[in-house]
Amino acid sequence: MSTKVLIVDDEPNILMSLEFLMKKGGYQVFIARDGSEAMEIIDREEPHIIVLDIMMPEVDGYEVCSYVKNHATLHTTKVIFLTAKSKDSDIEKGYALGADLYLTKPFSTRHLMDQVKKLDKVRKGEHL
Amino acid sequence: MSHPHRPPNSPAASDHRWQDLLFFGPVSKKTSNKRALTPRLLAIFGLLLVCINPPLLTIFNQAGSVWGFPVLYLYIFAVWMVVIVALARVVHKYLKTDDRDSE
Amino acid sequence: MNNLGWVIGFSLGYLTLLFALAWWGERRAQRGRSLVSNPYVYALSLAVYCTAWTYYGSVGRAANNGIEFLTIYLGPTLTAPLWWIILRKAIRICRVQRITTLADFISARYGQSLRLSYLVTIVCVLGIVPYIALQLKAIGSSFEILTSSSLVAQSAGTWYQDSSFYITLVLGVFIIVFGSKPLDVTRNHEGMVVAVAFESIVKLVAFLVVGSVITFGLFRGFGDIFQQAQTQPALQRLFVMDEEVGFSRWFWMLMVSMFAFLLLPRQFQVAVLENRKESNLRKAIWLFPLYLLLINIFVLPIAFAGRLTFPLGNVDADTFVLTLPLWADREGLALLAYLGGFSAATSMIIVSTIALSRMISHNVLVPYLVGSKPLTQRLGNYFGRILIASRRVNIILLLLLAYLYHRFVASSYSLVSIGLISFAAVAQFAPALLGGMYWKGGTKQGATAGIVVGFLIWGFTLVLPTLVGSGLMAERLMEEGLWGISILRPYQFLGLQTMEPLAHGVFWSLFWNLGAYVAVSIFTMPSSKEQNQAEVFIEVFKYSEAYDISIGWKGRATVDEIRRLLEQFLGHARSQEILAAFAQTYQVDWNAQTVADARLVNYAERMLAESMGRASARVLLATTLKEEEITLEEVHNLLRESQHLVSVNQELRQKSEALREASEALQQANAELKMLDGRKDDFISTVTHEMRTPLTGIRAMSEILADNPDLEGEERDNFLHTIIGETERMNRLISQVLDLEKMDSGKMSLHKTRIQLNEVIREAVESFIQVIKEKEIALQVDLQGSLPPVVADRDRMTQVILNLLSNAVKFVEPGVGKIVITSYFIDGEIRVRVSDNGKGIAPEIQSLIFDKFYQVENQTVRKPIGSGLGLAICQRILLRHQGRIWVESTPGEGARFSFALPAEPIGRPANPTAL
Repeated sequence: MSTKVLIVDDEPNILMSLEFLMKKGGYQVFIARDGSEAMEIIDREEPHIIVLDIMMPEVDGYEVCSYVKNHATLHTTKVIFLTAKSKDSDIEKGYALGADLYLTKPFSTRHLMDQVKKLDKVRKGEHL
Repeated sequence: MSHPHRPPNSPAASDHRWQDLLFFGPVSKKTSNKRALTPRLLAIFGLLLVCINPPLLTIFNQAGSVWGFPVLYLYIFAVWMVVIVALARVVHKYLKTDDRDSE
Repeated sequence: MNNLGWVIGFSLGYLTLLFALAWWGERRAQRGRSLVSNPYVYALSLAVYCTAWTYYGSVGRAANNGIEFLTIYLGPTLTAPLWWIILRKAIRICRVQRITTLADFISARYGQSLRLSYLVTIVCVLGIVPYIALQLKAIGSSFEILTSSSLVAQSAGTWYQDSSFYITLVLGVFIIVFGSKPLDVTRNHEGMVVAVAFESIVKLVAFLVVGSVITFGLFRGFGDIFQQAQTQPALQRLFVMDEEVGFSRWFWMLMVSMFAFLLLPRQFQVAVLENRKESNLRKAIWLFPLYLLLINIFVLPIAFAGRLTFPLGNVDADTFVLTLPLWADREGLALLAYLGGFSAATSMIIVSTIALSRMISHNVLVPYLVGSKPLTQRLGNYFGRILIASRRVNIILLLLLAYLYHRFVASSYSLVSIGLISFAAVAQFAPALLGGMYWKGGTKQGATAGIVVGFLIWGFTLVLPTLVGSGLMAERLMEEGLWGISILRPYQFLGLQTMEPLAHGVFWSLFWNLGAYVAVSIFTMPSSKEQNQAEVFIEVFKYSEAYDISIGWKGRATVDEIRRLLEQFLGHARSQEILAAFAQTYQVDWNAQTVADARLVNYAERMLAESMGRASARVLLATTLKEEEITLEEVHNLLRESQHLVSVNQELRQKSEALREASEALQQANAELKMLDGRKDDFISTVTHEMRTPLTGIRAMSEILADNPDLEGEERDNFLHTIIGETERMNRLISQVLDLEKMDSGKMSLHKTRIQLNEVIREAVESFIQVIKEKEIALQVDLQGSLPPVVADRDRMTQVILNLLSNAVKFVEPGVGKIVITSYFIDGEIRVRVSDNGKGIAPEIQSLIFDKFYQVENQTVRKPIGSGLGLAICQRILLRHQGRIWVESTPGEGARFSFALPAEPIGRPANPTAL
């Protein structure tokens, strides 16, 4: 079973790019345009890796992250924040909520994919 | 420095005085309310003086009685009561308790 | 009836209670919880005015003269409005000058004149002793009535059978114990005032109870008494005043009781000297007249009730308050009545003797003792003991004098006549005292002449006849005049025959008194000391701040001399305390300072004055220290200088206040600036964020394209087109930011012309029609036919409408979206509304969306795409056109953006202006 990746962002262009990259990396991709849609998919699909924007209408990325980290069955799910919020306090908050990685926009596609791959390995290693 | 008389005094002496000034505490501020009090009190005084003296008094100097009371007796007590009420009202309106007291 | 045991027990019990109260009041004051500073206690203590004379005598007078007795109480009521003006000034003067007696006050005003202070003391003693005698008489006869079987007072036998003699003794002891305190305590008598206030309550309650029982118990109310009285011609006469004699008496009695209220030593003691707070006058001004009114309500009813009950006239009307309850066999009530009368009498005796004994010690005895230097040196160390002993002896002497007067003179006179004669005596101080408070021209010689002349005429026209009446003088004097000269007849002085005796005496004495005061004052020159004191007295409110640093003394003295003097008279401990307090206040180092400056001398004088009276202190310093006469000019300069310093100080205070205000304003401005700065930071961070979004897309897609050269045509084109779109978005953003900055800095120029908004709307909609079709959005245009024109910049209006339309397009869902644009004319303005059925705007953001990129701290919610700068620009454009823009929205149902522009008044030509 291939690794499920959920991409959450409200910018269509970024979704488009990320979807392309993840599919090319061999992951099964899900897309959400806001926080509440993301939570639905998380409940339904139980993704292994989530790439998460923070500033979204209504339910924001922080809430999604803590939802995942407090979820009963998602102990191994990795969360990567991918956001334009680049202040130290934002980054600290992200890690405090249990995020596994915090990347700021604009980002390097290669770096992002390397990190996703690495996290996937860690996840699988734990799993074994 | 609006004081018209400014006595010539040496700087040393004036320094000495500056310390003295610390003793006096806040200088009382006279409110406009307080200034309005005196004419009102004087008015009450004048009114009472006129009301309880002849010739005004002669009007009520009659043998009859009203509600069982002698007219003059009733009149004087009525004036008296009115003055008390007027004094209480004026004083409490124009004089707040915060004025400066000693000791 | 034998109540002897009961009456004595009650009297002693009552005195013990008073003593306990006084002790308690004193203790509280020492712990700093003074009762005397309470305004109600102050107002009640003023009621020492109501003596046994009120209690028994008013009824007596009412029974014989009708309502005339009311003048005694209307007089003080008449002064009440003036308390704030006169009493407050007197209180301030006494406090500033450390005045301890009435005689101090008058002598201090006229340059510390010793002769005046002797004179005032003598007049007071001669005037007041009969009055004290009157109280003794009241106590004595009430005691007799209550303990004997007859309703008529028996004349007492020899002195050792006379109950009032023993009462006098007991009172003397009582007053000595709590009325004359050691030297080092302040000039206030806290305990005495508390006791007096309590006595005021007792006598009022007792009189009201007795009055209402007589009126409603023995009779059937006021109406009944007055009705019965009206049927008897002798009583009906009392309902009115005799127009000829009555009115002149009425007026002069009003006058004399006005002065008495202010000038009686006991009134001066409680109202001025014992006053702790000037603001206590605030309540007393109306409470005291109310007290007087209450205590007088039943006087006339009791008087009539007495006359009706004892028609034969064999019962003294002065005793009706007691005899009526006894007649009705209500012994409890009679005892209460007695107690009320007892309290009225004792309060007067207590305060009067204390005030008088202080006056004698402070103004006669001590000045005499310290006046001689060798005597001072010899007595110095025992001085405190001498002073206390003298006060005690004075009290006993005064009471004995009063008793003797009572035994040999007063018994043949009714209470009120004696009281009025006392009133007339103290009224002689009115010109000198009141004149001294307001007229700088009054001199020592004038004051002395006035008081002497007034006093002599008072004695001749008012006192002499009482001596004749008692058989101490020949009857012939009244008929033929002094030395047989007819114009020197006491009741027809200078041939004035129309006035009745009291009015006659008061008129002549005050007339000559005032005349002598003014005339002599005009023809004499005040000494510099007098002028100094006149200045300080009359301008007390101006100088009371400055008095401490003003100097009325010039001479040479050393600190050691002062120290020795203080130790000698006040004891070592107290003088150390005083010097320490002075050093602390004025930052003086005693080791460094050897010469006593005027300030220290002044201070020492005032401290000495507190315990020995002002006149004594003055004499003491004058004899001990080398003093030089100070000229008036020097005094004036010193006073002005100190006043000037005070006003400079005041100015400084005002300036520092202004400075504080300015710094507050600055702080506020700074906070505003910080906030603006913060908002600018917000703006920048939001702009960079908005820039980063397209930039992220561009970078990600460019990298994809670079890493995947084998990408197929369609996918490749898609990425490339998006990259182009994103760069366009960035470009738009940049020009919007620039636009906004231009508007905010006021560089935007408007080309206003008269335009039809409907035309602008139609054009804008036309240019937008393509976008709307693509997104399958329904657009409804609903414009009012004949809109008045507006004066506006056409391009900017187009920009506003396009912004609102594109905003709406972004909100609605393709396919189901619907946009309605409406224009209409209302209230003199043209409104354009763009409504959509999109997801709407949450209420909390509605007020923020017109701000340029609102971004609150920690805010994560992002507002709808692109709405940021567009709305902010719209708002600024409309503001520049005196218009406004707003939004109404229910989340989930859509939003309605409206703007309004003032319509051009019809008929007015367009006035294109370039702004």
